Amino acid sequence: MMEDWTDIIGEELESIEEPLPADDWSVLQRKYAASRKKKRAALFAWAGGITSVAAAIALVLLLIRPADVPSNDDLVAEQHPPIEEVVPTDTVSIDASSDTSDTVTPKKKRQIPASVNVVKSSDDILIAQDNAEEQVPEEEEIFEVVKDTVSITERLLADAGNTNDKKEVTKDNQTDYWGLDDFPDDEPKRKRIKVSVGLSGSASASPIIKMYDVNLEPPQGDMTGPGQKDSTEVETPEPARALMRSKSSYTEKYRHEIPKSFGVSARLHLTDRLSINTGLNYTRYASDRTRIFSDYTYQNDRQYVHYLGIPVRLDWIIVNRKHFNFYLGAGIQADKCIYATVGGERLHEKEVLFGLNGAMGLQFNIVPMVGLYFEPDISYSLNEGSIQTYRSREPFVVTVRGGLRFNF
Amino acid sequence: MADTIHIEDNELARLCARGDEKARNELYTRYAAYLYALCIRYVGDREFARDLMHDAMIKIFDTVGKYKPTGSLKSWCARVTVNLVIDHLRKSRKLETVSIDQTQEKIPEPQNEEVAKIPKAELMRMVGELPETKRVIFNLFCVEGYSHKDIAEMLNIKEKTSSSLLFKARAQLAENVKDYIMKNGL
Repeated sequence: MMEDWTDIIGEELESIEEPLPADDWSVLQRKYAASRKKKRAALFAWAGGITSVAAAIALVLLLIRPADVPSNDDLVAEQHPPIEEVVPTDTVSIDASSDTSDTVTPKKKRQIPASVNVVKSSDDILIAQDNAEEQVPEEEEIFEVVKDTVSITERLLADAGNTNDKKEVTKDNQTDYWGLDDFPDDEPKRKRIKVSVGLSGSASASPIIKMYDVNLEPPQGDMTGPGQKDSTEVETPEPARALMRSKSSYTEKYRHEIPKSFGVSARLHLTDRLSINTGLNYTRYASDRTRIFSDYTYQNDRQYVHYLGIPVRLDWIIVNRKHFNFYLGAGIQADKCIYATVGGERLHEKEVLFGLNGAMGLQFNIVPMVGLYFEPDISYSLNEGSIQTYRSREPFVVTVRGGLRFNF
Repeated sequence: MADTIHIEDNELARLCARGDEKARNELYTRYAAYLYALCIRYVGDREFARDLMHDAMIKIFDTVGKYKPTGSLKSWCARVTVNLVIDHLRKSRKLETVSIDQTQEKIPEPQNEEVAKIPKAELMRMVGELPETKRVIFNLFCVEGYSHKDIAEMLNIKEKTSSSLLFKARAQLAENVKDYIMKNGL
């Protein structure tokens, strides 16, 4: 097919290259660094904003949750009212001193749900009676209910005086941990700040275990640095100067090992469902670096990089049972390199590494104070730093953490 | 420039995507001059073209992980750069709507042999002298090989408008080429 004259212009223009100023690459590098910084700042602003909003919502939920409005746990408790709620005060004192098994007697099953503490008339009493278990003659039952109601009214009026009694009962029964503490009581529900502290160890994994890196230029500076002295380089008979010339380029290969990590964490419970998790994590990245030079000599070096990290995570406890809980969390982590060497030579990493992470976890409470947790999480590195590690090669890393968490 | 090792497009893209600084430098060395020329073709002004080329390189560094080795990395980089330039021109409203004269007179067109003798720099200058919208359409159609349908979508104009503007661009360019041939006796 015959070419059009504009096709010739097109072909000519398509092949044109314009020379650039000598400093253009450094200008571009500066612009790129600024652009990344800007993006990172925007990302942090978003992450910070989301975390702040989540924390604010959590705080608002914590503060506005009315003390006298029954929670879900309270509603469950209404179906099985606690013995000490509606029995007369004198009965409570007897129960507190008696054995636990004694408190579950047919007579004490005849209690009225906590909602009857607003009962005012005899009609209401009869209605309330329908809800009560009928194990005694009706007249006696009504008498008991009236007696209880009078007792409740007295207690409402007495108010502060009863608080001490309640505390004693709870203390004697030692049932907080098993959930009875969530049952409704006459005093306003106290908001408690709970803190958990954990010790953890972890192992990470990603789809790629072995990763390779190719360097296109020789390193800056002296090739006969301390790293080479300790290396396992294959010697050649050539003079060192000639050897240096032949090593104008090389290929680097890395084999990264799965990083090892352990740390301590603290969990601050904002509400029954929300908590903030933070702590200190130590991670060690180990790699084998192989340099293959253009003269087919090679050099092996062992690289160790040690990081300390501070995670901040918001956890949402989805299932909260007495023996275990299941939670989901999202947050950020900042890692700072504290020490790094390759072939005995010090490496310096000034950049603080940031990452986003999401986790889901299961905690089994062995005893009320101590829980065993298992927590897979996935983290995404926002920046990779200058040292090649497992993390810098694979931005998404799945980590399985496990440890002990102490609840206070 | 330091010695380099030849690596394939997809390997280079992979290394760039992983943040290898030397791989990025290699990508820059291979394609920056070409992308700079491309930007000059579209915007005319060299300083502005350099800024656009830098923006394009930053975008390439950030998105090179999406490159699929079905075509060359060079074409992929060019496509990213063209999209960025068009986007920029559209935002800065430099691509104004041009009224289309329906009467398209036949103009005398230069011969292929004559055009082939004109130096590249002169061709760049001639294309650079075209009005903005006509220049962009000429570049998209005659150099990058986009269809009028693609151009219409990219510039948010009708296909007919694209073809009319191309016709006008050709006419103006043909006139410039004829003038150059006359003056230089080619």
